[in-house]
Order: sequence, then C-alpha cells, then structure tokens
Amino acid sequence: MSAFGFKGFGWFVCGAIVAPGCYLVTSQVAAERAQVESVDRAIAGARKDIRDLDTEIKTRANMAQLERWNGDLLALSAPRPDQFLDSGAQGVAELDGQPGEAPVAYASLVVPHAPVLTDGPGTPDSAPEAALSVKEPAGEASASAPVRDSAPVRTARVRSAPIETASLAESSKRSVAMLDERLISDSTLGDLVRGARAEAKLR
Amino acid sequence: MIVVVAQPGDRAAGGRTPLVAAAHQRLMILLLLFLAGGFLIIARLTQLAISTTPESAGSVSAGYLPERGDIVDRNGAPLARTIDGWSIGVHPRKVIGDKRELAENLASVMPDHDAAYYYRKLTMDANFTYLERRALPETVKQVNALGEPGIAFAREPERLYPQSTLAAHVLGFVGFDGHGMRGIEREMDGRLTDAAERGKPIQLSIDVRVQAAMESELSQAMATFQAKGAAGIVLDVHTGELLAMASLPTFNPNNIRHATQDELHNNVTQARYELGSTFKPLAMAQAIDTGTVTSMARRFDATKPLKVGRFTIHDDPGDEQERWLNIPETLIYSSNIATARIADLMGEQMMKDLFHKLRFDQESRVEIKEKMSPLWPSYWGRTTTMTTAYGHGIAVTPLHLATAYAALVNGGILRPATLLKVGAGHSPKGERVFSAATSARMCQLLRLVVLDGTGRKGDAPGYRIGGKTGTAEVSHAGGYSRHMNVSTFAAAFPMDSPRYVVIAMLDSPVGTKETYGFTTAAWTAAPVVKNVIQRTGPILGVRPDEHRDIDVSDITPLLWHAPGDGDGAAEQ
Repeated sequence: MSAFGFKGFGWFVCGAIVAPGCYLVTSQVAAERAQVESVDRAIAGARKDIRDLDTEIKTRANMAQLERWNGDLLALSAPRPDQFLDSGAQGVAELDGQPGEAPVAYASLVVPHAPVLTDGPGTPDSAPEAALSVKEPAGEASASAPVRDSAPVRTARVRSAPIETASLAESSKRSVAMLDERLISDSTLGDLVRGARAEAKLR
Repeated sequence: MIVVVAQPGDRAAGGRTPLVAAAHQRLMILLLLFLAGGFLIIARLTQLAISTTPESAGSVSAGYLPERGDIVDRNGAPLARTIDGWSIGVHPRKVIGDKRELAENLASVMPDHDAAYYYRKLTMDANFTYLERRALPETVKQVNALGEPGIAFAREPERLYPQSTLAAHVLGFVGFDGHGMRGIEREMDGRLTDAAERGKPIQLSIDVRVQAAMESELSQAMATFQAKGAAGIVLDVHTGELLAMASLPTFNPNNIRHATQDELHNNVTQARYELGSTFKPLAMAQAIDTGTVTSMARRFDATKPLKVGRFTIHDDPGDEQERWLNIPETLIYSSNIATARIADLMGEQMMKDLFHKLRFDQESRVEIKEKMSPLWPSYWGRTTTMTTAYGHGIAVTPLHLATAYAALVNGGILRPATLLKVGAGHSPKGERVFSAATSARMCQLLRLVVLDGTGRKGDAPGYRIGGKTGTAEVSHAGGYSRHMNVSTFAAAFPMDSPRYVVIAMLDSPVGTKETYGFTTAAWTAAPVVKNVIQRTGPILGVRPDEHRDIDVSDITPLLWHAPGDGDGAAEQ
C-alpha cells in the first residue's frame, strides 16, 4: 500500500519537475518568436521611414527644381553630336579587349602639386591651408627617411605616395563641399534645416 | 465514493436501489454531456490551431502596404505616392476659447481663407469638421501653439505627386473621397485600391526625363509665342508606348482647388484640330500603297489655284511654286494643289479607307478616360476628298496623328498607343496598314522634307530627323481665321531605322520679331521638336551620328532647284 502510495508520489514529483521544464521550453520559444516579430516590425517601420524619406528627397529634387537650378547656375546643355565618339572610333576601342575579361585598370592620377590649382578660383584664403596639409606629411616622410633629407623636394614628392593621396582627399573633399555650397544657397539650406527641425519636433 | 460511504448498508431498502441506479444513470449522462462539451471545445481549438494563422504573422511579413498603390515611371521614379499627411480639424462643441478671436488667429496662420470662414466652421452645429487637409507640419505646429483643446490633429493618408505638375494630365488626381478623378488615377482606380494588388506599383510608359524636357520646351515656346495651348507627344513606334504626353496649360495635382477647366483639358486626347499639312504624308502613303501613284517622278499641275465647284484650293502664300510638281516636291514644298489632285485621283473610297484603317473614326485606346473621337466630316463630297488630304475638313486629336505617323515609319504596322510599360518582347502585334515598301519610301520623303523643305528648322544635327510641318487655320463658326493657326510639327527619328515619333503642337501662336512675324510650324513647333530630340536622344538610346543617314540618293535627282537658288525651298 505504502509502496503504491510512494509510486504515486514518484509520478507526481516526476510530473512536477518535467511539466515546468516543458513549459519553460515553450515559453522560451514564444519569447524568441516575439522578439523576432518585434524585429520584423521594426524592419517594416524602417522600410516605411525609408520610403518617406525617399519620397521627400525626390520631391525636393523633382525635375522642375533641377531645371531651375540648371537655369540659375549650372547652365548645362545637351551634348553636341561631335562630343560622342563616332562608331569607327568605338569599334577600335572594342578591339582592345573584351569587356569584363580583364580587371579594369585605372590610369594613375597625377595630382598637380601647386596647391592653388586644386582650389577653385576666388578662394585665395584657403591656399595656404592646403599648402600646410601637403607640407606636414612631407616632413614626416623625410623624418622616417633621413637619408633623403638633402634630396630636393621633387623626389620626396615622387616617392611618398601616401602624401599625395592625403592631399588629394583633402582637396577633393574641399571642392565637393564648395560645390554643395554653391548648388544650394544658404537660404535654401536654412529652410531645409528649419523644416527638418520643425518636423522632428512634431514627431 | 462519498455517496457509497454515506449510505448505511442496513437501512438500504429494496425500493431505494432503483432510485440510486437512476441517480447514477443521470450522473453518467451529465458526465458524458460535460465530456462531450469539453471534447467539442478541444476539437474546435485543434481546428483553429491547425487552420488559422496568427493575426500578427501576416501583417509583419507583408511589409508596408500603402492605402493606394504607387504610380511610377518606366524607370521606377515615383510619380504618385500615398504618404501620411497632417490634417487639422475642430470639434466645434468642445471649443472653450473665444471663437471670434480664435477665428482671427486661424486666419493669420492659414491665410487660404478669411476669419469669417473659420468662424463659420467654429460655430457649425456638428461634431467634427475639417479646417485644413494636407496641412504642412509647420502650420500644424503654429495651430497647436494656439492652445485650443477643441482643435484636433490627425495623420491621414494623402496622395502626393513628387513631380508636381509634371505629367499631370497623364496621372490625374484623387478626389477627397479617395477615388481617382482623372487620368490613370481614374482609369486604374480599382487596381490602385485593390488590397491584393496595390502593394505593387503601376509602371507607366512615361519617362520623367523625356516628359520634363518636352514640357519645358513646350512651355518656353508657348510663352514666347503667347500660344493659347500646346501639346507634345513622344511615342515609341515599335511598341506604341507613350514616353511623354504633355498638354499645356497644366495644373498641379497636389493642389487642384485653383485649377481651371482650361487647365484640366487634355490637349493631346481631348482637343481635336484640323492638323493641316501633316496629313499630306498620310495621303501620299495611301496613294503609293494603293498603286495610284507608281512613280516618284509623276508630275501634278500646281501652276495655278485649283477650282472645284465654288471652292478654290490655294497653296500657302510664300510656298507657291507655280509649276508642275512631282511627288517628293509636293511634300517638300507642301503643295495643297498637287496633294488635292492626287487625292482626287485616288477618289473618295480610298481616302475613307485610309482614315478608317488609321482608326480616325473612333477614339484612341489609350488608358485614360478623357478622350474624344475625331470629327468625321458629316458630308463627304469631292471637295472633302481633296481637303482632307491636306488636313482640312477632318479634325483629329494629336494622339491620333502620332499613332498614324508611327505606323507610317515603323514598316506600316498600326499599334494602339499605351500609357503602360510594355515588357520586352510583349509589344502588341498590331495590324498592317501600309506595306513595308511604302513605309520605307515615306521615311525617305519625310527625311527630305527636313533636309530640303519646310522642316529644316526641325533638324537636329546627327539625329537624322524626318518630319512634316503643318500649319492649319483655326476654324471658327462658319469659316477659317487667317490669323489664327494651329502649328504642328510631326517628326520621327532616327530615319535610317525609326524608333520614336515626336509631335509638338502650338495652338494660336503669335509671331515675334525673331520669327519675322511668322506663326507657321517651321518657326514655332519645329524648334521645339528639335530641342526635345537634342535633349532626350541620348537618354532614349539614340546616339547622334553625323556620318550616318537614310539613303535618299534615288530621289534627290528628282528635285529641281531654281538656278541660283542654292538651298531650294522657301522658308515657311
């Protein structure tokens, strides 16, 4: 009788241990799933935001606006027929090799070293800065190779490739920034910033 | 068990036993009922677990579904989208501030209406009314700053046209009830609102870059010549796709409140014009196709105006040749007299056949509802046969002309114009209206008109344009106006293997000093076509090439140039 009772108790204990275990597993799975779902929802939300922003930028840069900018300051016009390579020249170019076979090799870009050249006209103030940015790394390079100390500046220029890329990055960043400034006038930028701030507050 | 324990054995009487048995039976039945009930519930739960999907699963995986489908151009640039916009409304009964003062403040923030209008809204006997829909976030902020608790803000779906006025007549707009009112929005309303399909955008055949070029050139010409209206078309001759369809004056679908009826009118599909000399190539193609004219060298008398009954057919002043003209010369000098003679030779039936097979007797099949069928002459006499050959007496829409020209140059196959993108290899079969030989001949003739005739101002170097000018007098009640013209230039390019038809039309242009007072198509519409082709040719995949052209050497010997007249044709 007692054995029977203990047997029942054993079963009960077994159940009491296993059932919560099983429940734990399912609840764990449910929690995981809920998390995945919330991530999915976040992705959907992000997609919607992307769509909204995409709509906004395409509205701000619609064809009428581009045309206005072109009329106001870019003054680009349609290419003339003589600006296109004629079919004969194109055939010769194709003889050179099948496209997609060989890796594309770029011609090395020779950066004009006179810093003034890299800057746009009408910005003489920025010239000394650019000159500094060229000079400094040049000094470092000569410090690491003291043998070449006496060598004229020209060799240092040729040997130390990283210097040129640094100055190139600098100058290209500068010119792009300047282009931006000219493309979008200060008032337009101000409008954009103000509008964005207003919208951000409302959300 | 309890029952058994509670029943003392000795008091059990013989009469009681059936009672207990009955109780047992009832209990058993009850038990079974409960079991059945439980079983039913479990069965239903199982069924639900198996057959239905969780509510949340579908909404997340389906992603973002717009209220109304997008419309995009052929390259995927958005033309119409639904976004969440702000709306400002008011619960008039919940307004606690001074309504007069509030109305004044609202009028200063939203100057579209005056204070009286807002006061009416605020005192309205309703639960809720809109003050402004499609409000700017900035306006919402300002109104919120007024601090009136009765004013409510909500985000609701709003149709936005990112390109504003661009292709407005193609797209149409959406009314306040959320249904399309014009253009594609109206035609495709069901498809755009259908939950199953609206996730996928509708792709139009329009190319925004081409459309923008066409609209900008047309509006410039319209401003220069103070024209009443203008229309422009770029059509792919092999598929019938419309890459641009512009009608001016236009409206802004984002804000249609101020649009006039004139602006809503689609000049490409709804306006019918007598398109004048642009019909001559069609009549000529029919004459060649039917064998009425077999030799290009055959001459027709254009020495003096042609009298038919009480009508007299003249050539346009400045263009009279006063000699016998052969076929290419008839087109190059745009001679009404010679064309009328050729039409007369063909006869009434052949001219009717031509217009029937070009579908000039019905409205076009393009996917918008705002369209008209051409004005077919109510009475057809000998003069009608003659005048329709040079585009008077029959009025068609510019779109009809475009499809006809496409058939003229693409090898003779007429395909209906469409605004929906046609997938590669899915171009409609179409039907043959001219033989391939006729079409090839017409390509040569159209190119000659531009090289040597009235269309010289429409020639863009390298693009091998061919086309025909048409300057028709505007018909008024009972007659024609000498001073009001409809100037059209219908062109195709590149003529050595035509790919696109470009048509520009100006309604009632006024001559300027630069055009020496001329309002004819050569001075007004042809430069528009030339500029559009120069701007869009490379985009459309046509490389300008000055070393290539259609071979016209078999026709050039037929052209007679007056001695000393180096460049032949008179400027028109």
